[in-house]
Amino acid sequence: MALFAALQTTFLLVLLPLGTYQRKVLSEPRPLTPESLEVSINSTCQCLHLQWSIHSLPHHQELQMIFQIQISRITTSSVVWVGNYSTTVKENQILQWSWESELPLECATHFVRIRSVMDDARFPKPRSWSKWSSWEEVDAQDSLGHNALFVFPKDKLVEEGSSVTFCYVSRSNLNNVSCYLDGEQIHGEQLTPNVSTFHLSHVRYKRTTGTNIYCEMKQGRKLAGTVLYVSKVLEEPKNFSCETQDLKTLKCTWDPGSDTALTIQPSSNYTLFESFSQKKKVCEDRNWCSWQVTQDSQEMYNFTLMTENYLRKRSVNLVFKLTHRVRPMTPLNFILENINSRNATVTWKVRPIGNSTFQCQVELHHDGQVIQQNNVFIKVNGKYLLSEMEPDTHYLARVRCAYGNHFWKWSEWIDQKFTTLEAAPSVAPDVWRNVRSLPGGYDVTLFWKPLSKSHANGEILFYNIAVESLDKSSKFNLSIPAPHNDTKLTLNKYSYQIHVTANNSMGTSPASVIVIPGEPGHKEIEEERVKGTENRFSLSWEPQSRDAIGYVVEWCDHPQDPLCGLQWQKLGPNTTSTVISSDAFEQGVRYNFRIYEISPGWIASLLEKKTGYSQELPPSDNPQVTTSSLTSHSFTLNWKDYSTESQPGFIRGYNVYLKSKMEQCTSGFERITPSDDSAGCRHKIDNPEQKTFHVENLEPASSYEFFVTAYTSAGDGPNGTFTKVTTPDEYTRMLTHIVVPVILCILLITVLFYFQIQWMKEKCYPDIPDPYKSSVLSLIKSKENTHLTIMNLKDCIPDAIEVVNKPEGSRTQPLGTGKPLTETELTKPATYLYLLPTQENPSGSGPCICFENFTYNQAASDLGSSGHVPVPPSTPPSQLGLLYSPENLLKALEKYYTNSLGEIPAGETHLNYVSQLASPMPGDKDSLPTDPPVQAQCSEYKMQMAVPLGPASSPPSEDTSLSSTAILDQGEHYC
Amino acid sequence: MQVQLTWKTLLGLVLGLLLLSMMAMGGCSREYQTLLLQMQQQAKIMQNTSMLLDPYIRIQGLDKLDYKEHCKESPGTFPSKDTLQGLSRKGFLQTLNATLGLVLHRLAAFQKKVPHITKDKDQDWKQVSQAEGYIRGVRNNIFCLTPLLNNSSEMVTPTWAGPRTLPPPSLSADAFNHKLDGCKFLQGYHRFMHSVEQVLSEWAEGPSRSRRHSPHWASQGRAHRMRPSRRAKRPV
Repeated sequence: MALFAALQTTFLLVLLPLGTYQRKVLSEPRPLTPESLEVSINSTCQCLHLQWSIHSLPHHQELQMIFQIQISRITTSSVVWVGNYSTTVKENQILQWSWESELPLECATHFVRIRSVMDDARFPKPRSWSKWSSWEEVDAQDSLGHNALFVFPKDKLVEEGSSVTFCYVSRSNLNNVSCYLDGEQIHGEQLTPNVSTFHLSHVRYKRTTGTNIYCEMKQGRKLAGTVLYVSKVLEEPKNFSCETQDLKTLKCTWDPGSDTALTIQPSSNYTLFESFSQKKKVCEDRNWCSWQVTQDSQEMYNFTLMTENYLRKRSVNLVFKLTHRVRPMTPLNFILENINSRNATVTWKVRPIGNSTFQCQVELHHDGQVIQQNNVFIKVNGKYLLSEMEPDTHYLARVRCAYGNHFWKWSEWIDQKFTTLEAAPSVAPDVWRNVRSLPGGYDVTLFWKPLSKSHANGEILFYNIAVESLDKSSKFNLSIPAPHNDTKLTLNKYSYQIHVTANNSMGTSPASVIVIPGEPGHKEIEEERVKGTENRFSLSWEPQSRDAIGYVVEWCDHPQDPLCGLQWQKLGPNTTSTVISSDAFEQGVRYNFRIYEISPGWIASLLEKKTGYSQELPPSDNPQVTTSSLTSHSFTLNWKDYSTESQPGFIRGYNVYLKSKMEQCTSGFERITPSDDSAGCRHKIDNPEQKTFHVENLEPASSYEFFVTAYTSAGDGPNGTFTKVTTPDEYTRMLTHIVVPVILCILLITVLFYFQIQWMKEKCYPDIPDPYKSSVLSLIKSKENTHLTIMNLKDCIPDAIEVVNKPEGSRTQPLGTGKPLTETELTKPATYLYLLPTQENPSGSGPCICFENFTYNQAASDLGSSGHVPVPPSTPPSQLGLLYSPENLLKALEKYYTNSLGEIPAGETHLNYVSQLASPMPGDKDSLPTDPPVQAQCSEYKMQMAVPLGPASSPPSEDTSLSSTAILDQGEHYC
Repeated sequence: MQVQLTWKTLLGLVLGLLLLSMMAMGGCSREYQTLLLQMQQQAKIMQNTSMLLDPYIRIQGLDKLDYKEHCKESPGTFPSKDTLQGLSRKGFLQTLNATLGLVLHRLAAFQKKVPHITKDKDQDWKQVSQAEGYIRGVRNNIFCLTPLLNNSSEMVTPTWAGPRTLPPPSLSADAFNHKLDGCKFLQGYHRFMHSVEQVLSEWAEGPSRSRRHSPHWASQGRAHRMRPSRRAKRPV
């Protein structure tokens, strides 16, 4: 027993130190620093790849450890990321870890260090971190090569909406580098002296070939770039559905959404996985996939549709029972049989699915509308009778079917178009007539309306017109091809019954009957006015006989056109009113309606006449007004030619406007619209037939303005100009009767006097004859002396010049006086004037011609007696020179002669003419104008001399006239 | 844009008619001049950048880039005009055929990378597909023209010793550079077709211009009547 106790104590003593030792090791772990840290770059994923190991794990056990990793950029002090990585560590295990950098790793140098701490529950807390490993530097720029410019990262693939950071690395000055995103310049931040970064947020998809980001160095035109592939976000498939048509094959469909394909990323593929059977199928198409139904009677299916691309995965799930997803195939052998004008039979087939029945739907369409719809249940063959259709009508019949055991979806439609057969027209054509009397007969124009499609029952080919005389047994038929809708018949003055039928390929319509009586009545019917409203007229009439079988209202849609567009409306016998409406009705146009009563014998007799406007308008023009019967107190206005029928409204009367200076209107007129100055006074004529108006009670010798306009219910006619009328004075007329004859008498007398003066002038004062044109001269030349000739003035030598000296302005210059008219010939130098007596002129020694000019005589006589006038020394030399020089004198005379034939120049007022008469009577000036020249025995020419009037001349006495007389050498010349 | 489309439509019509005319004739035309003229017209059309380069640039989104600066033809990818002029006719056709084969190969690779759903909707992709057809048309004419030269007096048929395979896209395989490589390649292609058209024009203007019949026809029908001097003037 003692031995046992001793052994037990010894064992405990041995175990105790062991347990104590063991407890002591676990409670004091030694920090383990990560060793052999290696860092590398994976450019594809822009990842830093770390691997390290832990040596000297205690007890060679697996320990749970936490590694803290620090990553710095550019310098060790700029830590960009710190994180822990927890894992189980084995002895001498190489640990790996990756870190994805947002910034491309090529853009900057990275530094990594790591430390660890045990995270094992076997060790009590607190636990201490190991020492940091030394910094590991990673610099990708070392391996870039020798290019001058780089852009990173290369070929980045991101999803739409992501943010991306780019950088460029330049070997030279950064200022020379410009960067672009698909041509648009972008601006970044300088990271290091030769690196700039660009951060792009929410990038958008541009094209499958990616978005180009490139930088250009201006020096040397260096270009570097990269492509950012922006993928559309892979969408979850929508509307995922599976169905079968034959319980053998399932067809699953879905909407895949946007394609995420890029040049570096293929289109996302789709995979079907069925969980019950654990089968999988990769689909070839993006939006559907077929699935072979197993033959082991699997009823339930649980499909998962999966899709993925490089960036994302998506999946949707669908569970269903196979027989609940049956959609039959499109029916086949769809045939239309026994088509006639009203009915047709459709037949079809369905592909059987086991022993199931099918529910089929038959539809009949017309003009795009469903007009019939019926459901039928069939096994395999279907049949349905389509009825109640219209003849000659296009229809579309179609059918579809659904699985009878459980309705899931209808099959696709199968359809066919068809047309029902024609049938004979069902109603008689609506016929009316227009009868025009001719000598001995009628022109009957028949009109009919085309049958509506529902009544024609096919294409109307022609209209048959059967004309039967009721008085004689004659009958004839006409066939009018469609689409004509009228024909003209010329009939004798008998009664005729006309049948009109419409015909198509299937038969004839009922006949429309109309009777033309042989003796139409000529009942005078007063036209009644009706008022229309917009496009309609309400008409009513009084029935004339009780046995009328109907009424017809007739009108023209275009009454102003020669083809007036005859319209009619047939009404039943009990109808006494109707509303005629037409889109052709226009405002301002008068429409005439005739209402006929149809007798049992189909004879139409005129019952009433109505006329009216759908809307009246003011008159389109004003009357052309003339005035008459103008007196000092009244005048009359007339507009007889004004047509009231052609106006766009019923003329209700006329408004006569009168304006005057009087404040008050004349009687019968009322003042209107004070604000309107042009209005004045108005007289309203309510009778449209009154086309004259007598305006009276006017003031004499006053001005009035009038204006006449017609008016309708819509108002006055157009504005016009006022016409002015002035009433005469009361005495004016009387004066007119006296003054006018007096004026006429005076005029008559004046005319008589004028002719008398002409006569007297010819008798008393004939014009001076032209010596060169004298007949006497020719007579002398031929008979007496061939040497005789007309004296040229240049050849004339004045014997004497009498200077008449009269004070200038002392008397009125006679016509033609005051002009230098002297002529002489200088035979010897002369400083004085000669005055030779007329008696010495050898006028009697030879023939002579004498002309006389009373005008000059008058002038000479006005000057007084001729006489010698000594030239005063005070006379200006120039003037004297003109006078005393024989040449000048001669020139002056010549000039005078010339001027005597024409116009005497003005301004030469210093010479007077002295007419030389055959028997001059000096000093007897008064006798000259009055005494006609005495015809001498021989012709005698009197030299007409011009005598200057100078102040130097001695003033003659009033009674003494100085004259100059030239005595010609008769032996030499005849003047 | 409307004008461009109309122009493209017209081009398509012309080339289509050329191809159709050949098909209607049941294969190759035996007319040397006709084939030469057709090839000349085809080369003239294909040198236009709107046939291939412009749609390519739009597809790749490079239209905002100064592609004339950055899409310059890489030297050596396509034979120069001088090189082509230095070739014999047969060698020229062989070179042309081989080069167009490379272009077709590259276009096929380009098309393969792009999803079908995009290509179906894009007018530019349709244009690229049409251009492929036109290139095949040129190759058909080469096929037809080559036998006509077999009877010629050309003893030596040097060909271009340039690349027989696709030039490597780029050392850096990033997509952007790959796009630029394609751009440069097509720039070179259009320049090449311009050179081809000029060389073919010289052919047409050469001594054989007056010959209305193909050498093949002449060799079959009238070889005995042809003078040696004329035969010596065959295109070189």
